Amino acid sequence: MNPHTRFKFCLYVADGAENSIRAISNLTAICREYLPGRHAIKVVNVLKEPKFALANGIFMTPTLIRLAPGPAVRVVGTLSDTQTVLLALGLEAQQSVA
Amino acid sequence: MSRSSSPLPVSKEKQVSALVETLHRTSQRLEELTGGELDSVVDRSGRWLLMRGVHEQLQQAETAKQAAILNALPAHIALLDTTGNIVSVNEAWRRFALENALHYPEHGVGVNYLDVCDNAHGNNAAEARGVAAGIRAVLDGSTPSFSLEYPCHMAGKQRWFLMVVTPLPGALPAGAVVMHLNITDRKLAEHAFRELSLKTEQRERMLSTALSAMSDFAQIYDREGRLLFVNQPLLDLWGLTIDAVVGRNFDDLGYPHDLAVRLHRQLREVLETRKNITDESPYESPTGVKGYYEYIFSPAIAADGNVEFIVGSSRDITEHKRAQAELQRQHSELRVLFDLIPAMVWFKNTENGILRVNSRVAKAAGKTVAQIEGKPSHEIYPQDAARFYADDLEVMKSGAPKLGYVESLRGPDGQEAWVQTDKVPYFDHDGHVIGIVVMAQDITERKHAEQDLKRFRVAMDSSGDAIVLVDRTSMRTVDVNQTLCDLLGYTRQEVIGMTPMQLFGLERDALERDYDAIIADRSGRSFAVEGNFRHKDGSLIPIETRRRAMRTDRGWLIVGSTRDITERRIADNKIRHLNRVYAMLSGINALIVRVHDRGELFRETCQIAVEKGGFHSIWIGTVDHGAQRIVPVASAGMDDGIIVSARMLLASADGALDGNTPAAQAATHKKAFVSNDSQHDPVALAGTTHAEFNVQSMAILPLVVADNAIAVIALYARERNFFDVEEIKLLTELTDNIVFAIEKIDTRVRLDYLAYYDALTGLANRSLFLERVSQHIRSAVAGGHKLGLFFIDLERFRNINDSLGRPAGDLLLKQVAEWLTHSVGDANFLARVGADQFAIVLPELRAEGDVVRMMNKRIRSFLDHPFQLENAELRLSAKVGVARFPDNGTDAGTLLANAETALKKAKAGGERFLFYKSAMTERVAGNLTLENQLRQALDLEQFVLHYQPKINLKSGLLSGAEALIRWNDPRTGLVPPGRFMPILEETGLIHDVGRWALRKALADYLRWRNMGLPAVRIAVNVSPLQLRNRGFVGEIEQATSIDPHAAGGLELEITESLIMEDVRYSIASLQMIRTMGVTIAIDDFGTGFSSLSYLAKLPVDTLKIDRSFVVDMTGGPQGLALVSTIVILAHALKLNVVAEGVETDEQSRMLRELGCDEMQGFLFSKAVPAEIFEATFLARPAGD
Repeated sequence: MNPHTRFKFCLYVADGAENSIRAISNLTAICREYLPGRHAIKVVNVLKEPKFALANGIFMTPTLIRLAPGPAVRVVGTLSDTQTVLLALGLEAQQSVA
Repeated sequence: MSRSSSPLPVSKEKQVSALVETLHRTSQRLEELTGGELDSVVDRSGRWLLMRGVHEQLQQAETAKQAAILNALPAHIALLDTTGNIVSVNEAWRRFALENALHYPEHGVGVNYLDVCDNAHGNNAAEARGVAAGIRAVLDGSTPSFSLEYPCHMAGKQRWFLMVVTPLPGALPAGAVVMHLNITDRKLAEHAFRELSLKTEQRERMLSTALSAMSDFAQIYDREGRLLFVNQPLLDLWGLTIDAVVGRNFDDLGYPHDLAVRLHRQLREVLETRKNITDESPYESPTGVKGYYEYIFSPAIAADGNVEFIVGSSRDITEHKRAQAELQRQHSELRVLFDLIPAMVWFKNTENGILRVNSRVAKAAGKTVAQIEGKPSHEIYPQDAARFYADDLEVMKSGAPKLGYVESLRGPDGQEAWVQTDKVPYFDHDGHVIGIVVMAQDITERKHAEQDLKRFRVAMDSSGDAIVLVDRTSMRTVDVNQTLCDLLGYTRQEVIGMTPMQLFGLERDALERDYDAIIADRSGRSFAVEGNFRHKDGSLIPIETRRRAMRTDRGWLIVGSTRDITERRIADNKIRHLNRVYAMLSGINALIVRVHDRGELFRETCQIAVEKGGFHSIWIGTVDHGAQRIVPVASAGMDDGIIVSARMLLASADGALDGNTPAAQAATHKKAFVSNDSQHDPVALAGTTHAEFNVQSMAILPLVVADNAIAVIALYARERNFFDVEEIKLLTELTDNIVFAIEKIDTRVRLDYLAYYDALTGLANRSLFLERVSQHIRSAVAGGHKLGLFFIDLERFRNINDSLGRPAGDLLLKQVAEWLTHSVGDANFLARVGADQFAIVLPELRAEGDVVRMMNKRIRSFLDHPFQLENAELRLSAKVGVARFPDNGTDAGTLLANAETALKKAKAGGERFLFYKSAMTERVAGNLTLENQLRQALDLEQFVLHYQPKINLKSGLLSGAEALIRWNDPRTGLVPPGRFMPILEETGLIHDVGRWALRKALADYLRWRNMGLPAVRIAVNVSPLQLRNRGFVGEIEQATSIDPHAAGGLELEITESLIMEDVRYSIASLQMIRTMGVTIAIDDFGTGFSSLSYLAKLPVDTLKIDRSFVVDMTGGPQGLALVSTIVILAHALKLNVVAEGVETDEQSRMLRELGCDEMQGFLFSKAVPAEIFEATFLARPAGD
């Protein structure tokens, strides 16, 4: 994958619920390590914006959607297993730059 | 559980219990499925359901968050219920309670706050009750909030608090929040501020005074740009009072509009950016003083971060500006001066950094000044920097300048340049060296000039010629070379400054005249003169000087290149002398044959002695033994005086035969009398006569016949020491010959003599020569050595006779005989064996190699020898055949015949001389046969003419024809011209054959013309022999006279080299021929010209480009250029151009493009017999 491709993520969380908080911190950690300077994360609180989540077909939290590069990829959970997340997001070939 | 709800029936309860169980399991299952990683899911209606435990977790988190916030606040916060009991407190409240030893249990939780206030006592009791009232009002909702600031002395500190009481939200009173905020800092600040506020008036005064004390002009503007304050100096400047100024802006103050706009803009900028702005502006004061301000606007920023007002400060920088301008001007001036210095100048610091350079440095380095200044030296001078710096350091260490030393460096182009450098250190105030000034003058040219001079000096000194440079103005020697010093015995110092008059022993006038003539000539050529140098010891050295004028910046210099010609003079003199003697001998030998009596013999002898011998005077006197007298019978001379005086002496009493006159002595002693300094020699008895008639030497020789002196010959010469031993020997030989002649005359054997000698040259004839050779053969046999016989033939001699006439030929033969005699050294080895043939015998022949060298040398000098004919110089060439005894024959006859055979072979080939080889005999015989056959061919009309057509390159039409001679040998068929033309030339048959060709060509032309055919002009080749023949022009005239149209049909082709042999004669002949209407073509053009300038002078019509050029033309640009040049040249001279030997279409095309007029060659047609030419080219319309 082109090392300059920009990644856009949308993470759906349920307010400050534990798994959601974990998912946020896991995602930011992964992005910092593998996509430094070329990622954007939008966090959506489904309890505040339930309709937005439903409109995007989100049924549970935390759910991560990779918006770009397309096609959209969906990962549910706390994103604790880094290797699985990388694989799911197509970042397995990315070199850690940390 | 609400009271209105009724208990569920059991079945329902079971159902509910089952549902709860299901829900529980479902929830658990969901947990399992999602690994506990989810916290919410959405239900069918789109509501988000939190997972099990998440709700509590969120709530806990929220509570914790709120507690954390409360605890983090610095205010002391307590929550009261509706009755005033403290329900909860935050961390700050707790800490405050601890710190201030308010020992309530649980930090006051559970205590009624209202009671605490109501029960307060002391100073603050009333205030505390007020607080309690306020809290009650909030709790019962009668007031939305309550606040109070109060001081509090606790732990020895004065502190202030703000107490705020706000109700808890809700429809019904639910309690209140009490918050105590420590506002001590703010209170203290307010106090301080109040303190300060009290002093504002004072501060303003202070500020105003300070501002007014400044020499700068200070202003304060409000946000709208209106003046709030102006200090006194500015008021003074404006001549206004503060009241008249405050509230006014720049426009009101009468600032120029542009300036006012700018200042407003800048003020706005300060407002926005809150940064200082510095600028300058020109001004003109009300009194008309012009100047400059520098001003600065600074924002005064208020506590809220906004700009409150703007402080302006300006100062008059007019002086500063002027000083700056002055400095700038001085700097520019210095820069200009700096650049004007005719040297490269560097200012360098002690670290080899370049501080400043002038433009010359930049130019020399191929950079700009800016590119160099500030750079380290090694960056600009990578190669030389280290070396320069070493010198710099030396100067900087010693502190002493280093001046005027020469060094070399390399320019940007890599060329070596020479500079003369000065290095001067410069110092700071304390006398420390802080850098160095390097000034370098480019002296490359001077250096080169010096080197050139040095080289020139060496060249001059190594010249074999003595060189002297004379300044025309001062007439002094300015320079000489070593050769001259060596030659004259002076040192260079001695010679320089001497006058050329001293050097040459000449008068100043004469020398100046010579010099001025050279200067006036301007052609730059040199002038040769012969003269003498005067050696330091006074002796004269014969010299030849070539002078040349040279202009210098200080006037004219005469450069003399001088050669010592002592050797040459001696050699010249010797040659002249010998030539003279041989001429005399030869003349007298010839005389012997011709003369019939003594009187004639004596008279002619006298004539020859003066004319050929160059003697001043001569007389011959017979000895009358009876009368005892010597009687002069013949004389000749430049001056009769000396002879008259001799006669008088002989006729006098002293002149008797027994007297002591020189003549008497010679006659009586039968011995030559010689006086080599007759003017001073007493025995010469010349008295003053010899001085009077310019005679310095005298010799009197006796003619002794049968041991009797029958006559004396007296010879006088102008030169002193004329009669040396050699001269006397030759004169003795001469007298012997005269005696021989007298004897022959006497004994009437003159006829016999004639039979043995050649009357013209006086040399032996063939029979005498053969006899002599026989004698030499005998001695060669005896001596066991070889003998050589040389047969010499003069080339083209027959032509000379033909063209210049017999007398001229005879004259030339005599000169040749003299030259040969001189060359061989003994007339007895020589003979004239044919009209233009001589033979020489060398009794002892050296090795063949030596002979070859000798022959080459002799032939070379013969070719170079200028024979004189009718005041013109003529050079002759000769060929030689050599036969040797015993190799090529053992008797004189055979040797001579074989030498002649070798000669013929040499003539047929290109060799100058050939040694006889036996096989030659046959070949010569073959040539003789051919010669006979050619004679016959002429008689039998076996020669034919073939015609080669010439084509006009533009029209393609027949434009002419060249007639070519062919020999139709009935035995062998057509013989190519190369086989027989040389023999025709050699034998002279060409005259006859050429004449025939001319007539035949004309006859053909006229016949075709009369037949009505389009006859074209026919070119006939003219051989060298024909052209040289004086009768040639007449021959043409005669040939063309047969028909009025004949001349118009004839063109003569003459080879270029032939014309050049005798240009003057050629021009005259050709002009005459052209006037008849015959045209002239130069054949083989390009093969023989030495000077194109002649071409313009030659009366010719057509130029034929030699075939070799046509061939080369297609070979390359040079060949093409050559032909092009010839065509252009010919056309410029209005000549028709014909290209010969055109064989290809490409050649034809190129020639056409070059503008060549006509062509001939195989491309169109070879030469064809007349009938074919007529049928092919004339009988049908030309050009078909």
